[in-house]
Amino acid sequence: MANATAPNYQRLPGTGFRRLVPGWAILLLFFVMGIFALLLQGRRVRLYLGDDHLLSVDWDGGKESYKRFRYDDIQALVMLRTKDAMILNAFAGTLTAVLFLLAAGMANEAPAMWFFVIMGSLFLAILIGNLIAGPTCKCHLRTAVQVEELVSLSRLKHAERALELLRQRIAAVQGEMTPEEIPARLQQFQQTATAARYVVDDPNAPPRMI
Amino acid sequence: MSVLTGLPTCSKCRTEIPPADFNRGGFSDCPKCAAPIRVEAFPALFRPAAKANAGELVMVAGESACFYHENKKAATVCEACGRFLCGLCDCFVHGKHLCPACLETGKQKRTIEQLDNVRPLYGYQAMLCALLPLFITGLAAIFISLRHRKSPGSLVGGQHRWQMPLALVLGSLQTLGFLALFYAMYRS
Repeated sequence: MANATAPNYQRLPGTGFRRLVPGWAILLLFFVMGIFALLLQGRRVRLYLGDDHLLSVDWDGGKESYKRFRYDDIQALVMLRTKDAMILNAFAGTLTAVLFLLAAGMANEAPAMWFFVIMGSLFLAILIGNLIAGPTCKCHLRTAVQVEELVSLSRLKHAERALELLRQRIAAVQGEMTPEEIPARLQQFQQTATAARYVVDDPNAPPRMI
Repeated sequence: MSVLTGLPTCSKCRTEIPPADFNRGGFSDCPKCAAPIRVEAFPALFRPAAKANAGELVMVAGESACFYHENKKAATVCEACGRFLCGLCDCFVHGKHLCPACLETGKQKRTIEQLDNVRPLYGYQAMLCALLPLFITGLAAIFISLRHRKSPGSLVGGQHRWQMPLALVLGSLQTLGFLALFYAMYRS
């Protein structure tokens, strides 16, 4: 029987959540449920580089679930730049401005002014945090039988760093492929795929499958 | 799960990305929705799918046959139990040929790391119970820290050895505290 050896994993940058409800809904629910709204953010996901596979770890507070993707099986990584960060910036920026203006307008009513200042500061913190985190993206990993979203790589700077580390590991197993090689490889692959999968030994007999 | 065919697609509109945009090291626009997209393709994308091995049939009487399929020719031996296996029953895991029964045993006993898909984090659970002051949680922390003190921890983070003894101490203190409180309430 194969023995369990001490695994050697290197963590990739980025942390994501397999959300039960969308992020904007959690933000709104925060004002209703308080900190308990964070219970709806779902399982935390992180990626780790193993010796021969990429490990996706889902953590739900009580247990960890693992998914493995062998470097040899990874066909492609697709990164899509999204506008989520820009939308959040616009939303948080507008709210911050409105709340601070309201606070300035209520300078003579101290409790109301402090309420708007605190609310405005909250959205200002979200805005600053989002600006520091940078643009957003969506990453997908493709193998021969699946397309898996890598939810932990939702920020471009993390995704690019992770992609570079991952690309090196995959290239060490599969080899490099330059853009110039791709058309020739594709043509060769299509020829193999469409090639006859049978031979005709005798014209009067049915073809023999290979 | 079926085999995916075709080229990688745009994550937004599911249109195939032209191969000319692969491995460019930067973003290019999707031909349909114009979303900025980057594709890193690897040689496995153009590798033909491997043919599944269904096992050869036994042709000659007395020829070594598979333990599970008596009409199929033995192709290899299980490295754990020594049973003869045909191509269909041969499970090649982490450089070893195993039969389905040994594979199942390995999964249940957690001796094959590659099949270990879920690990309960008893250390976290015990600490959580120990820190939640609900009386029953103190007892739960004591139970978990004693019952699972040797259970393996996280695959990536390992077992935090300090968690179990600390949860045991905190759980015991919590239980004793509640018992003292109940006793004081009873006396008053």
